[in-house]
Amino acid sequence: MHEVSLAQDILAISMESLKNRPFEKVLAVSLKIGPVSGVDPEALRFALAVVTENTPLAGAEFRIETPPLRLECRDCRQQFVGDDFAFSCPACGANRIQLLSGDEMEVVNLEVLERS
Amino acid sequence: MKEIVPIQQKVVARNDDLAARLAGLFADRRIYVFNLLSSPGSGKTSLLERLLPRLSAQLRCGVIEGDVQTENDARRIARVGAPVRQIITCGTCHLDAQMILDHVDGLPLDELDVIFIENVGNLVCPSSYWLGEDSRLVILSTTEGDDKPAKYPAVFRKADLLVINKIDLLPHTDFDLDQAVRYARGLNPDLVVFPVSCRTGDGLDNLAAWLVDKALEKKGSSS
Repeated sequence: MHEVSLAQDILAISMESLKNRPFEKVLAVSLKIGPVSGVDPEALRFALAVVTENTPLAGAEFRIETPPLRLECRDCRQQFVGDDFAFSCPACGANRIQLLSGDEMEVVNLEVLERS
Repeated sequence: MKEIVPIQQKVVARNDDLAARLAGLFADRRIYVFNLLSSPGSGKTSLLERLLPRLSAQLRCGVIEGDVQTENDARRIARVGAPVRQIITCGTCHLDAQMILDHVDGLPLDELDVIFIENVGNLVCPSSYWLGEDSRLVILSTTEGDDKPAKYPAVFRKADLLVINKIDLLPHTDFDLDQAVRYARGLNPDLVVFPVSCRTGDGLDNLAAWLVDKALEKKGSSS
């Protein structure tokens, strides 16, 4: 349950990027949260709603993109996409698997309504 | 008008920056830092109680204890004679670099070769937070189940060292040591593994020798 800490970091990163930029409203925050990042997206959404109360991010939509879990066999170099950590390679059966992507925790961008 | 403000920044970027500052501080003083991670009750504090006397002839060690509540662990470490600071997180499930920065000056840094940071007992959250450490040490005990690496892959994938504790209890559990190591090495083929028992002392001398090598290597390196 470190989602509250992560939500505070997301708020801080967002506010930093809005510095010196006049805006009317923050419409959306886009996030990339990998399937093996250890983050529960629903818990993160809840935490974000709480920590952004009474901030310029209040009411913004939080768009959480889940990138695929991409793995590679260290022996035969076969690459594959998994739902969870695979412990053996579907091609050669070796259990030396490397994570290529899937543990991301990133703030991608903000969508803001500019001050007219 | 709507506009997209690009960011492309890691959520834990601020923690990484602070941890890099800590790593610089430790590098200047050539202090080797181990971050100890495990679930509650696997024996992190017991391991330190048994290891510190084995290291004291060659290394000056300090400890930072992280717990949600109480100073019990710091008292246990103080009893074996090591300088110790206790961080009480009041509910937070992991240590972060800011907490270490706030407490590290409480240790006599100019008189230390090694710092052990005992993280909050938790196999999920601490894995996302670098504390400026040189090595991550994960402890798994034989009473927990040999599939823990499969269930909590992130913490095992990012570890340098796996200590399997309570091997004296192996005859009384269904824990399959080879299976646990297979799972862990499947995620992390370079993982160094030490099976130990803090009760009987089995394996602790080998582990201590490995830690001493690492610390002396850093101490001997030019800054």
